[in-house]
Amino acid sequence: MDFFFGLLQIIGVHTLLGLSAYVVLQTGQVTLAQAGFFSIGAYVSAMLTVLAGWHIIPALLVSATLAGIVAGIVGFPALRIKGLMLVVATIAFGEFIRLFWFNFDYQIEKKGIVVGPQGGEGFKQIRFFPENGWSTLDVAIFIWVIVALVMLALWWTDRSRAGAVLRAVGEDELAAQSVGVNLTAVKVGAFAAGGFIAGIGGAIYAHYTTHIEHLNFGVMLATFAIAYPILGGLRNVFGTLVAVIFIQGFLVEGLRFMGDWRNLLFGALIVLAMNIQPRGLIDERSVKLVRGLFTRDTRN
Amino acid sequence: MLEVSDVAVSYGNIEALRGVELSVEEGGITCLLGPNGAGKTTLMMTIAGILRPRRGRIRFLDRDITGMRPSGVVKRGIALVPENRLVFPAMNVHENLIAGAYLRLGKRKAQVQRDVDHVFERFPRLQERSKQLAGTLSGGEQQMLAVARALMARPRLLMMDEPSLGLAPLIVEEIFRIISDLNADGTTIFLVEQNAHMALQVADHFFLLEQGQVSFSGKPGQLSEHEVIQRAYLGKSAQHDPPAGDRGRPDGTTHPSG
Repeated sequence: MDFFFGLLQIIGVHTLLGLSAYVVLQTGQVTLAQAGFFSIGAYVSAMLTVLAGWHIIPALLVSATLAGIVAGIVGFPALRIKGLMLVVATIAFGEFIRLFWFNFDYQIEKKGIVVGPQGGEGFKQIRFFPENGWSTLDVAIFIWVIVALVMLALWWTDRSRAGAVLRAVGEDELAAQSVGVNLTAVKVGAFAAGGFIAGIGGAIYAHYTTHIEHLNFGVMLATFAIAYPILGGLRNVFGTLVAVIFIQGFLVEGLRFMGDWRNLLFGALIVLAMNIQPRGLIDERSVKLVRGLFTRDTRN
Repeated sequence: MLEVSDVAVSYGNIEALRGVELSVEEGGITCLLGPNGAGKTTLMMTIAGILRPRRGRIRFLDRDITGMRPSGVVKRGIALVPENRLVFPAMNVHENLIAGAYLRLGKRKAQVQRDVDHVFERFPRLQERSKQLAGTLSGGEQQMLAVARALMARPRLLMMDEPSLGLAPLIVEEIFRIISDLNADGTTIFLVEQNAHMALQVADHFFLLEQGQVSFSGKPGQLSEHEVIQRAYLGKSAQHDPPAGDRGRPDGTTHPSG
């Protein structure tokens, strides 16, 4: 059973990662810096629980806020660059944060053992959950309560007036400006919100794996972050969730029996899915299809 | 209401505007005519704050708005209906209008909804298509939506960049009827047009922009429509036999007295 709870945890954390990119993508900006913000959440929250002895919840909020602030700062230079240039710039920034952790060394002695981030060796013994007797199920429930709250907040934003403004910037910046939309506020705000969500995901990730190192937060993770919302579709937050379940649940875990062939099939299936559903897994058509299943007999 | 003085704008080494002087009187319809490449759109974008002038001053309601951000300009009461309409294609009509009410994002929803209802009264066809994606509307409907979206910002001055572009003659007439109606209801209009014939019918005052400078300013009728059309489409250089009386040197032409 623990295997399934473990999988639920992975899916939950990756959903947060995907949603963090979803917010930024809504404004038409492609970001590969999300893994960097995710790592800030991971390292900072772990330092707060392990070194300072905080509870996970305040540690999570503080580290996510910090990730959001850093993301907002990245949002400013992003105002001047677009498209491919922005992709390159955000990769550079993500790597900058990763290499910061590679060089970051800060350990203290706690109860006879030395703990803390140790450069290339990583940060071991992040043991808040086991020390406080949280079972795998408890952790999975904790994660999914947070995922549900974040999804609810974003779903509500999408339907609100603020959501219309976000998408307006994504569709046509010139037109948005001409009716008074403040591009700076919207883009920086989207980056900050995305950084905050990535920070929450990173904080949870650090605590369920108990050991993090800089290599966890490379370009591959950043690519996954934007792959989820793009594969799932930018229509609503459920697209991202469905894409995470498709990739982490089906492609990574479900096809494990195929051994080494899995990696090959992995890429092929993503390409296939994007060709069959070019506007994302959750688009107009699939929504209509699902709706049709539940309201079949009302028409005839 | 709006005064543009000595405004120059460059794209890199190319000078698009070379010291433009013009003014828009409150309550009227002012028209800017000129051939392709004269700098009409550049001027609109500069007034809207999207482009920054290299020199010169732009004043609106006796306040300097030169170099102000687009959002600040809209807040002062100028909204732009951009060239080619530029609706948000993957958003529905209602959402397009909501995005136009950005400045009142913090205000109550009911107040914005009242404006949406008001705009729908003026454009019943948009109401019928409220849930339809803007990209699937016809050209004329998209133009109406672009105007309606700009009205959501409650502008005192509405700037329109070639609203008749690519529309069928009947639709163009409808768009111009809308422009007259809006003006009659108290919105000052500043219009860029290539369709000189239609523009001269509604305009109170018009300017000719040629090669980055205002070459004529006056009321419809002061210049023969024949000449206006020739200069608006082709520019001065293409003119073969200028009517002797009307035309002087560029700086010697009649300027508005006030």
